[in-house]
Amino acid sequence: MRVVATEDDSLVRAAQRGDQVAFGRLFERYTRLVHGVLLSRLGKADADDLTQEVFLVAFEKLPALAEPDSFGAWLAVIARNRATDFLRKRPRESEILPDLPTFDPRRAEAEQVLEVIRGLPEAYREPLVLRLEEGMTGPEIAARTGLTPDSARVNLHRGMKLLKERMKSDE
Amino acid sequence: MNSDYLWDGTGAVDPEVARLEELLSELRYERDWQPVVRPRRRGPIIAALAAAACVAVLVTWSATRQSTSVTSEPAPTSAAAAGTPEVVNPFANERAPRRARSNDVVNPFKSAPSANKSTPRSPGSAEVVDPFKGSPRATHSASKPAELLDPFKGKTSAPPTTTGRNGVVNSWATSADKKSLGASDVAPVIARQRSEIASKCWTPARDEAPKSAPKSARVVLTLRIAASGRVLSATASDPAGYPGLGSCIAGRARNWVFPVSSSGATINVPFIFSR
Repeated sequence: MRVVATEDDSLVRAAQRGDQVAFGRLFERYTRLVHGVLLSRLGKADADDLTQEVFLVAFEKLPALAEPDSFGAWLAVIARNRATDFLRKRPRESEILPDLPTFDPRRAEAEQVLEVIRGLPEAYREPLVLRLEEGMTGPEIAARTGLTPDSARVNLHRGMKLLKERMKSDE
Repeated sequence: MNSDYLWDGTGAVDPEVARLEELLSELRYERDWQPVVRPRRRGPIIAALAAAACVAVLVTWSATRQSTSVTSEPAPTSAAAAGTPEVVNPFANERAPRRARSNDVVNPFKSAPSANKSTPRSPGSAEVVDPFKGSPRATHSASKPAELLDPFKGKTSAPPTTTGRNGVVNSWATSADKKSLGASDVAPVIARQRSEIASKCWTPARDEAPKSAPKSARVVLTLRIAASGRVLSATASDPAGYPGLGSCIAGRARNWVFPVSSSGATINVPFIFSR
């Protein structure tokens, strides 16, 4: 993991100097993290849209990042704040146009599971979404978010246990 | 529950975790902004032709000036002739500035610190004539229909890894190689316009919106960008409750200038506004 972190450090430093290619690489490497953080709080369409915005904000603020090795955690904070801001300003349900109905039963089931995950305590939501939906491994989650591996592991397992219980009770 | 499988995907597969993985993968970031596959350096053939062109130009130049300094100039081209992968592609260095002059396009990334650092310019390269200018190979990308790209819809998977001489590279390639627009080209341009869009378009639209207007608005701006970086067309529909918002954004977007590319692109840029 340290190798990954070192690679990311150098990419962040290059991006801070204005290297567009390095920023592009960071975009590739961290899209799953940002999208997962957003998706653990928002619907898919909003998460998809805001993923872009998070990177735009990050690009603007990147020169001010003092510790390149905390890029992932910093980016996750931006994503969380953007999601919170979005939810705070979001119109009430009656005032927004409804999303297009989902006719794909698998997609509908996935949305249902995601809703259950969103109902879990906050500490469990992100690791579960990042692991199950974005396909990241536990060590990756820890490295990208700045959590210790032990914390990530505990959150992942407790979250999974809780998710299974909730899904059973919903059946 | 198999804890190893949940943790890092190793060990015996936990069927419940695997089922959820497969199910939830439906929700992944699916905006398939396909990295534009384009020809990379053509290897020894191009390198040899480049070397020949360089030598021809230099010899002509030196002959007309009656100079005897020819032997000091071809050093970079001899490396190119050897066909080493690390050779600096003289066309990559020269093509962008030449276009910029002829089209009078301001390339916002021209002065970026990293833009040319990786490809130091050789003393003689300024005289190189591009033998591929106007050739079928050089215009290959331009002949293809514009692809619908979303600059922010990146694949979450690893980028294309085929990087052989005759293989492909993705649009995140180095600036010196860059011929097609990628997210890293487009995002900074749009990022610089956000505050203006907010103050000139969103604020007036919000102030004039009726009370019954939704508290958020989503505008998808579609840009057709020419190879020169100029915006050929910009369209955006007005969201419900905010007349003029989309047309205001589109109107401003027509003046944006993107980096020079080989074939331009059509991109969708979603904007979300909320009160």
